Amino acid sequence: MTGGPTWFPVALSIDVPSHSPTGTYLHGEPIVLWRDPAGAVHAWADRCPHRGMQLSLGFLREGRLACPYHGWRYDAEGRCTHIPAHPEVVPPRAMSVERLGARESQAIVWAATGDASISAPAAVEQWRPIRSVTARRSASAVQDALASSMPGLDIEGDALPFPGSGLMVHSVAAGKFGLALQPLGPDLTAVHAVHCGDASVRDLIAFSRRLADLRDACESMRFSSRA
Amino acid sequence: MASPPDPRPSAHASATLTFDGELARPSFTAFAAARASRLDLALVFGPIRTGSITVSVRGQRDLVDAFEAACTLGPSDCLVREVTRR
Repeated sequence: MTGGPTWFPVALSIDVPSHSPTGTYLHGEPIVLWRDPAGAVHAWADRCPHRGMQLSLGFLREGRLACPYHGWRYDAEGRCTHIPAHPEVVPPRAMSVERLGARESQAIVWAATGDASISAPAAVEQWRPIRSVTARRSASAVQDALASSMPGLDIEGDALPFPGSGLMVHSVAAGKFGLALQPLGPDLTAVHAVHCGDASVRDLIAFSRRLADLRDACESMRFSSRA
Repeated sequence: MASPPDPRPSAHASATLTFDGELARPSFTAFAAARASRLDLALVFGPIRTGSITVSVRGQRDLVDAFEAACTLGPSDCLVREVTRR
């Protein structure tokens, strides 16, 4: 164990809007994703320190994430800044949300626990989101299914945005398709698909359908090769 | 919607609270210490007797009130029957 952060995909960037928080899971733990006014994405434990309400059900006010239960507001550092029932109270620092590291790269939002202070390298390629699908299988089972379905699927060194992350790349004539696996839980995995290159809309739709078919096959344990 | 005003520290207050009831000492004192830390209150334990624990706290007035409310509920293995505040 190196002690460094391990980055996991948690959403397509396009699925984290600027006007509202959204929730997801990582290894069974609920997390909330939201953007501050500068557009920077944040990943936190999806639990208000006050009464445990899901912050992903909350809303954004004045650039801060507000809990839907009692309206406590949290700034980008995760610190409570406002308690509506006690507006004169300066919330103690202990009233803070547990934060994860959060970065965006390759049209995907990545989150990490531990020391997540590693800065993202400059993006050298323009990736576009395609879609996300969720399979009722473990991440390793989904990875096996993908490898079986797409010979040549590999992790490109220069495609790794951060240590520990894994964007699997399937190269085709019209560019590259990227697939990132999010372990939502022990037997639930999200597959986030992105593309880099000159594929037509028709190609993207075809790949999207292929991914859905692969999900269906994976869930029925039919790992047929589609080479 | 107007922005909330910048919070200014509420008036500080001190209180000495005596909790009487069916109190499991380690559980209750740990609970009180954790709540005081969360609420950024200075905490000093006073006399601790069977069924009676006294604490002195100081901090923002509303948070002292919050501390009293939390400790009145207490941990699940304690039952506070009376609170005396001085």
